[in-house]
Amino acid sequence: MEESVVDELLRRARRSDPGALSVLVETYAPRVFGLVYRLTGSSDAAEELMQETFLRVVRTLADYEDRGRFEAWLFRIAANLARDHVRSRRRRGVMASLDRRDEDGRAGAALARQPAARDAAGPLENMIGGEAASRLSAALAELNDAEREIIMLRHFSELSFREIAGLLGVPLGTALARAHRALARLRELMGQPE
Amino acid sequence: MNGARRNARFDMNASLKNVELTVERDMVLLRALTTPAPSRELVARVAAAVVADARRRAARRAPWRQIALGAAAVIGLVLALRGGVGRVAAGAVESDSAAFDAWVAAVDDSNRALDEATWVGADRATDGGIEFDRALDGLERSFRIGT
Repeated sequence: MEESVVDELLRRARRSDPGALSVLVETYAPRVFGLVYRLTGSSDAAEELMQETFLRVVRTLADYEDRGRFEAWLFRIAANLARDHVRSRRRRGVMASLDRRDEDGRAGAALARQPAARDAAGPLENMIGGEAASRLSAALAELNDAEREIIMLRHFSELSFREIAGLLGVPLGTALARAHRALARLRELMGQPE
Repeated sequence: MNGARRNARFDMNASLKNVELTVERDMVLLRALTTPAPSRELVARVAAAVVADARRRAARRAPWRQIALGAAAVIGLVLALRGGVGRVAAGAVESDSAAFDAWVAAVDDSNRALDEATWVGADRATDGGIEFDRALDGLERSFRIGT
């Protein structure tokens, strides 16, 4: 979405315009949901965190005034909420990977919400794609939080690594090194040559 | 020294750029990643929650806005009244001043009239006194003649 369009939406959203607020949610919901789902590994947590992300965005819209790109702000809120959620879950001793539980235990629910692009593929492509996706999901779950966070931010947001580094408060070199390590580890886990 | 530092910075930037290009290329690995999309119902529910929250907050802000507007109106009224009273006081002073001027003018007129009256009387008295003096002189002379 063009920045001028986003700015106009934000201007209207600041005045609690229901149409603008709905468009903001509808526009960014899929990517925000994808990010928090991948960072928490839980559909339930993703649903809750997506709502919380948008509520926080709207409650603090007044603070967002020429502070750079809206997406960087939106995804920072989402990533921080997901990080807090994972930490809190660990403190409570929930150590099991919810990613597997979601993909195995709740496969029906998860498949029912696959993106339309995947539904349009044929059965064989779906099977092959599904297998690759499953292996990729499993490999992602093996990464540490910081590594997963940076490549998921790059995947779901339209931000550059430089913007992501700023969002995470780390130097660009650190962000790139982290992403490079994460991708190398993913390839290794999936048995793919460099 | 500065040249060496500049070259080192250039090398570092170039190497960062190379790493970035490599990482961007490797991100293709995630192309196969599928993530459950939020259902339409969920998106609609979140949108409704956001709109409801914004309305609630706007409604909560409304009494404060009314109070603020009321306070501003009261302050405006007080300032206007104070300005008005000032103007009234100034008007009163102006009015008093005019009355005073009128009073002074009247006193002046009165004094002038009194002076005129007095001086006329005095003149007359003087004239009368001269007459009286003349009469006494005449009487004295007649006594002196008689003696």
